[in-house]
Amino acid sequence: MTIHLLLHTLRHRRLAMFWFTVGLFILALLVMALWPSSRDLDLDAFLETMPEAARAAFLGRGFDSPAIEQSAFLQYLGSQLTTWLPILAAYFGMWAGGGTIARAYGRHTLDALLAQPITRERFLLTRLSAVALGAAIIVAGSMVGLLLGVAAWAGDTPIAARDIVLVHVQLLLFGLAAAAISAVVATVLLEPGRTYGVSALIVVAMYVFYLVAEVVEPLEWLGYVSLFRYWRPLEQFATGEFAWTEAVVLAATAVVATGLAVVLFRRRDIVT
Amino acid sequence: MTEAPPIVTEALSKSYGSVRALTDLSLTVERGEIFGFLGPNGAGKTTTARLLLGLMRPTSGSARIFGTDVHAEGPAARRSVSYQPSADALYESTRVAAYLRAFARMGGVPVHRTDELIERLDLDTSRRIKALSTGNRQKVAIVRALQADVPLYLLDEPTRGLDPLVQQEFGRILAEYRDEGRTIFLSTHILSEAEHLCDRVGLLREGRLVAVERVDVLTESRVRRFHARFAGPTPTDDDLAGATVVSRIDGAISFEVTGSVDRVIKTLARFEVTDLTVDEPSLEDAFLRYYDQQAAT
Repeated sequence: MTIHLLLHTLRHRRLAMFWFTVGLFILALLVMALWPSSRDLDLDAFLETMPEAARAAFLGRGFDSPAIEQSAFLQYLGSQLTTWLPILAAYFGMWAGGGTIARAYGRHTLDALLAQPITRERFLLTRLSAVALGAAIIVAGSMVGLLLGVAAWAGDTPIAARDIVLVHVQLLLFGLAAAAISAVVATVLLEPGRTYGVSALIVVAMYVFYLVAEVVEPLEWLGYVSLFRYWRPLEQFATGEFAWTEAVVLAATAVVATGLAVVLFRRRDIVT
Repeated sequence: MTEAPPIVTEALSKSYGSVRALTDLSLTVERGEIFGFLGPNGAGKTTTARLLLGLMRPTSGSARIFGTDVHAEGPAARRSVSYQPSADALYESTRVAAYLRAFARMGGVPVHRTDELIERLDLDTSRRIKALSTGNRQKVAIVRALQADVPLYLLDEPTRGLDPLVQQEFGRILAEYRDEGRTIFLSTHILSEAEHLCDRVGLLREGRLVAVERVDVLTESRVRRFHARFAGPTPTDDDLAGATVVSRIDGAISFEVTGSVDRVIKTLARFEVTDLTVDEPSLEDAFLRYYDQQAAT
């Protein structure tokens, strides 16, 4: 029964997942396709004119390390990846994680699904497993796009395929953490509009916390409650070292939020 | 399957804050019966169904399905039940056949009679659900619920939107299920529907079960109000023996008949009737009159 619920969930998301995957693949390719025409721009001078918070937002954490300051390619790649990848991952997480419950509730299908002989725990974990599978497929689309793009257009400044893969592992964990947080919101609110609204508010708040923490030293602690702090593609590309601590924090967030969602959902009255 | 009754609730209650949706519901539904759960909208019918399925936790009391506590052992209890919710529970972009197949697989219980139900309810399974009329959507929900080969069916307002011919066929299908020893718990707010489909009915009012009675007993004691207008002479009170005349105004008579109307119809046939209407009593009236009669005797 669980496998049928998993397949059923994936089947119902297949179109959205397909277009998400194709979209990220094309976007990754485009980023690299535009690099040859962008390499002559004096990006470094442009970045120097920006306030620190804007540079943090534009380039991501680690933007001020020497390796990155000396590489126009890494600055370019960082600006692109930091700008759109985590935002898209957070959007996917909100949509898919909150949708595990809220979509079914909004369509009045949650009653029929939970009236089957399945526990709430198994139901939610199966739905979140479908989200994880879908996220892996979508992230793979971006990864393949970037690998092909780097091979085709990076020229004499290639980056290692291993680093591209590991950056996407980080991205996957980031998306799963966002999805699990949104699932918690869904178990509390049920209704889709409110679920997506509150989830979006949380993502925006985390992004603001991240920016504030980067530039206001007394508020640095705010950064620790933001998922964006733990997304570090530039450091991966610059040093080749996987950010294990950050990855563990993202994974732990996903696990803890999933556990909390299960506990809350187990006791939740399904009222329409 | 155990010998325990399909549904037993004991002082089952549900409150939302200060609002009591269901109060001390104690009810036993027997094997092989079609039980009608009657009540106006908001009386607590859907809340009861949700409590029976473990979709809600009771504030107090308990509910058992074939002896299994629905809250302590939810999945085990639900293995014996198929549920048709009152609200649309359909995937709009899915074709009917795929939808039925998906739920057959996910249900975790064996399925039966799917093709037969589709044929008897005249359902086109090749169409997408979003293209279906209200009645056809209801047919999909019914087939989905009845294709499960289980001993108990919970049907919430199942005939909503069905045309009369399909309602008749649906009634025949339910009777066949009952004759096979299956139990049907059917909630509705339409008295005539319960009369036609059910063996026994319970009346729910403001979250309280106020009466449980066999349908044939209720029908025998049911009061109908006739309004007849005549072109010529009008029947005397003696002609209408057995009926209670309420008013006579300018060739029009209003009278009430308890139980069978056969004798009154034969009397009216002897006169020139230009207009005739029959009021069906409200659900509560029917029950309250019945209990008033019981109290008077």
